[in-house]
Amino acid sequence: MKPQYLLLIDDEAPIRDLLSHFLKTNGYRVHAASGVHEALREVRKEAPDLVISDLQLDDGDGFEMIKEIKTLCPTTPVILLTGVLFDGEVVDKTLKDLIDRYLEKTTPLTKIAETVKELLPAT
Amino acid sequence: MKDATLKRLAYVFLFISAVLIAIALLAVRNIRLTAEASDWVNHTHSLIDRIDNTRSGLLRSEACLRAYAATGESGDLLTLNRALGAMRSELELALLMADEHSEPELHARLQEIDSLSESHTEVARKIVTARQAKTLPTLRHELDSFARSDTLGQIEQGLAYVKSELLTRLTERDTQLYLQVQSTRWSIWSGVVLDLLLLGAAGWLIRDDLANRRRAATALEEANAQLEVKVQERTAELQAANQQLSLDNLERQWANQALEHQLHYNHRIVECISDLVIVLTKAGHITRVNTAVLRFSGWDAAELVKEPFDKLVRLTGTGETPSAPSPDALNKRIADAMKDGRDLVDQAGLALGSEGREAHARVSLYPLRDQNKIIGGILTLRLTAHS
Repeated sequence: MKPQYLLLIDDEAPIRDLLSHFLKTNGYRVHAASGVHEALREVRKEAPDLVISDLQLDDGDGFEMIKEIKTLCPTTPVILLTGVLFDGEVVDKTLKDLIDRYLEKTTPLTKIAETVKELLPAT
Repeated sequence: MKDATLKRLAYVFLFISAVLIAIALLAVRNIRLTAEASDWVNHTHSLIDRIDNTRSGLLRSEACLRAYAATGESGDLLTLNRALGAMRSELELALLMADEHSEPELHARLQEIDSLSESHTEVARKIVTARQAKTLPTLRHELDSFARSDTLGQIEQGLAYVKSELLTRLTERDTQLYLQVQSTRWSIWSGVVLDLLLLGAAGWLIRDDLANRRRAATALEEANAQLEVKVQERTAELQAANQQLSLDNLERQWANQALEHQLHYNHRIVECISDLVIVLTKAGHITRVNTAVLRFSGWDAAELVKEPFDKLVRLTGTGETPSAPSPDALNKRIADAMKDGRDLVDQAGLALGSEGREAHARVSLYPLRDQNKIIGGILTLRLTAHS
């Protein structure tokens, strides 16, 4: 069975590497993009089953990019993984039309994995 | 276990071999004895025949002698001579057959009979001579002597004795041979039974050893299976522990990375503010400043750490004109506000720097709280004009 495809977007290489390695060991196929342009190019090439994205990126705004991704793949769930926003519940309420879940960057990996599993379509 | 069984089996087969060899030797010996006994029996029967023939010749010679003495027929004389000749030749043969060393008594008795037969032959010749001479008195005298003589009786007795002795020996030899055959039979059967018992014992030893080996092999297989299960369980535990360790390690790296990111981000927030930001302890000593402070004051961080806040700021009272006479009293307002946990917002003051540098600024103090406790304060200075 083909593993599910996750797109990870973060401009910090250590964050990308760690999270990518962790998700791969959990059996997912992962592409790690460092910026908006690379992420959108990958989405156009192959629609991911789930997107995990930071908000502040070097070459563009994360909100705008997520909007574009949602336009391209309306059913793909998006997790916003960042450390620059307000309280999680507040963000969940205010951004519920744009993202599916907000996680702070200090969230443990196991919790991230649980959220990914929860949001991915059943195979 | 293996060595002991092999040793026992070796002993058993050695014993079986010894019994077989003993049986074989016994059989060979008995065959040889039987062959010897057969020769002796043939020899003895032949000797008895000689004795019988001698006696027959003796009796025929007596009858022919009497007939010839009565009739003078030449036919009787011829028969007499043949009978005497046969008797003598048979007796000589008997003497030759009776070994002087192995059968001395028989030999002596036969020699005695031989002497008597010679006497008998001599008497017969005298009677024949007297008959042929037709001298009647002499013939009567010889016949009378012949009739009174005991020679024939002694010869017959001797022959009967020898024959009886030979028959007795034959009987004894038969008995001995029968006992020997019986003994041989029992020995062979006993050996065979003993060998069979030993073979049975060897089979039992082998069966016992095989059963022990099977039990040992089964026990070894069970032990190996249990060991395999334990190894698999232990391996699974180690793998799980290793996975957990890897996960913990990854989690720790992630936490560190996230924390570093967060600290970096917070730092950047403070750094990008153009106002002078000074972090104070509860006692009013400087613990941290932003880049704007270093840029304005001309001091580096090492020159500011642990210094009192009035190295960087002095309140001037209300209005634009600095209140020079009591700067300590004015600055005490900052210390009191922090102690009381009050905000002190937008106060007139001077930002101070190295080499007498000064600038007018709006000063604010925000007490730093942690779980309802005052742990320090944040001073912000918004520069209004350099002096």
